[in-house]
Amino acid sequence: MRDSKRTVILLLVVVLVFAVFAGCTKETIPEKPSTDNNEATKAPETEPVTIQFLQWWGTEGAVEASIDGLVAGFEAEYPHITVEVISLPFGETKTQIVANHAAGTVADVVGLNPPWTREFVDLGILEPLDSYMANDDDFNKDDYFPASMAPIKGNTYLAPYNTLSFFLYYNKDMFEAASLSTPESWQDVIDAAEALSDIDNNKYGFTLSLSEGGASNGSILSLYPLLYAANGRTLVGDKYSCQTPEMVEAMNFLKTLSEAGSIVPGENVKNDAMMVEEFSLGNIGMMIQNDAHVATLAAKNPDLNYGIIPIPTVDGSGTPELRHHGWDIGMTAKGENKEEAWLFISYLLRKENMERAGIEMKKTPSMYGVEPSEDASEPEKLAKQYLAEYSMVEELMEMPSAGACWTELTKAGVAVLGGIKTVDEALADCQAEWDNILGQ
Amino acid sequence: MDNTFKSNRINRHFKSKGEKREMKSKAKTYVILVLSSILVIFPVAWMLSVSVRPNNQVFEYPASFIPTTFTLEAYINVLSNNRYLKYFLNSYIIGMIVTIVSTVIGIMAGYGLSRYKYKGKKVFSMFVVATQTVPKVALLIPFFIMMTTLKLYNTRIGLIVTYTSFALPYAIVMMQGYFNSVSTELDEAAMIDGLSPFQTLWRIIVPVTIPAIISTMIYTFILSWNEFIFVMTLIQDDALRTIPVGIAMMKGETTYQWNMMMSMSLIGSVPVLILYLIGQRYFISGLSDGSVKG
Repeated sequence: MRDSKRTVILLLVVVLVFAVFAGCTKETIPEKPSTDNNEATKAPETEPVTIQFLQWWGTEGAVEASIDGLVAGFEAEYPHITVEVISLPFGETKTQIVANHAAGTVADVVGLNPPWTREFVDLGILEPLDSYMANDDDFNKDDYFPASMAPIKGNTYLAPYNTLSFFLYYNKDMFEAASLSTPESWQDVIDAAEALSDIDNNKYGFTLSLSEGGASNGSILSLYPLLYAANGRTLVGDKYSCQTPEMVEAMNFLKTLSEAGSIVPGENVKNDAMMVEEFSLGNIGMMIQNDAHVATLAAKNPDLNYGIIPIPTVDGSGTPELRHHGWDIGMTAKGENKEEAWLFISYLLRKENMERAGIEMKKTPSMYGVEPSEDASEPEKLAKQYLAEYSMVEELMEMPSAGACWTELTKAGVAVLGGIKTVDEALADCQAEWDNILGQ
Repeated sequence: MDNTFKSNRINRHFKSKGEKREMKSKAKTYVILVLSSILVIFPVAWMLSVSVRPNNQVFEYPASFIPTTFTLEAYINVLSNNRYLKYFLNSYIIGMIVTIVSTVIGIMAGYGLSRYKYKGKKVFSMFVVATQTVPKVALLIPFFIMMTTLKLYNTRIGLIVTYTSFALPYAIVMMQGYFNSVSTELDEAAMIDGLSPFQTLWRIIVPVTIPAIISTMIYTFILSWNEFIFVMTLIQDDALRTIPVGIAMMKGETTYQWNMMMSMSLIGSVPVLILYLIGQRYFISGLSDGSVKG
């Protein structure tokens, strides 16, 4: 017994030593683009300055290399400015920005999800960008998707970078096999989901995430996109309401899907990424997701034959609106180098850099007139086309305590799908929580 | 005749009813142990299975324990990346320093609490125990503000100080308890031989209390090795991060590197496993012996 234990210990030590000395890496230095033909005006020589750029984007595969390349280009153009890139896990970014702000150590430039904006504005974390945008000759607001630049308390706080709008993804092979056409109404989605579900063979018509866990959770992935597809809103007059007819309709839609057995079990514990994993396997008919996952699906299952369409309106009439989500950029109020921070933001927002980032990061730049690359997939091209054609809505950006509110809505969804409450009961309870949280 | 033959055969296998009962009891015990082992080992085995398959096959259906495609790409990606190797190095350095510092201070504080009577001893003892009751998360912001004020934010020293403050109460309580079980006659004999209290502690008492010391060291190392939220908050520089943060960095907003997460977790658990295997009997005896007398 002792001998075998010693052997195991010895083996583990060997593995450990091998692990410590294994491999060597050739660090790749991002190419600094030639500045010979640079049309931008170089900043006058000044004292060296270091600005920090905090984001989670660098954890998304190839995005880190793209950011490094963009930073290298910026530093080549502005030699007196050094950009320190700080990458954090997505789930920790919001918390760390708040904590760093409290301690006075927050980065100069931060990557943001729009739903965090109002909370950050209320905490005094973000600097208004209006004057910087107005005084920058290289920046024209009309060139960019307007959703992220919607004023909050009269000011613009976000610079739009990448847009991740929500669409209905559908498995073309499953639809063709079942002789189904693309849904044009919510009833079509319900019928298609039921037709595609074959539980004995592990096929489901729909996958859904209603998990409260994770930074990107539940209702913002399903109920909000459905709400806006139905041309609904949560802000009615000066009060936020989750009991609007469109929200009731959205909740009933999910309830019907669930009662028909069309939804993959486990929606309460599934997060964003897990939904996409399931859909990538090719046995799920549909999901509601943002167009960032076009890139995810390309990596997971390049052979998956799927399409994307705007979520239809309830009865198929009228034009749906898209729920806007995105990777946006903000400047912090406590940052010490605001002029340099804006120079960096402005650099990132230049059309050539937006185009480059869009290709390298496989995301949709929040800018009109950015053509997809020639080798872009059909869903990628469609996403860009739809974003230019359809209106986008993002109420969470301006909603106080947005995170707490959408979590309550997620709980309502869980209660309805779990059969614990009726739709009216769940939304009434959610409304009571919203009134309490928002003081309305 | 047949009955006699049959009963003789039975009697050859089971001499008594008592033995039969014992066999049944042993069989039940083994069944429970095997089932419990499967329950405990299966998640780790699944981690291993995920770590040796391509990322796009992690959720393949039907799920299979044996990967369809076997690959070491996750391990190669982790072990050939200087950034991840730095995370391992940082975890080792911080773990070892916290362990040594906590243990040394814990030994001295525990000895003082065990052997000496002085004003405020009870209050100090209660204070040490009381600090263990505060949830670590509640200390996050205070520690953050403290470290930034002391200019220790984003430094290894700041993290070491923080982890040591978490490990010390346990170390002190463990060592005090174990020293209480060591007869004071040893101290008296040492002092008669002319040793100072300091010498008595390190040359006479410590060698006798090796099990408790090893148990304490293992616990403090594990505490430091696995800690996530404080290193996430107190360290901004990627070059100073540790393994738990490295694993978290593989969870993006839209993609998770499942196989790399599993491989990094498994590689990260190897030192802890080695430590535990080496000090297993000390760890178990130290846990129980130290708790006899508080």
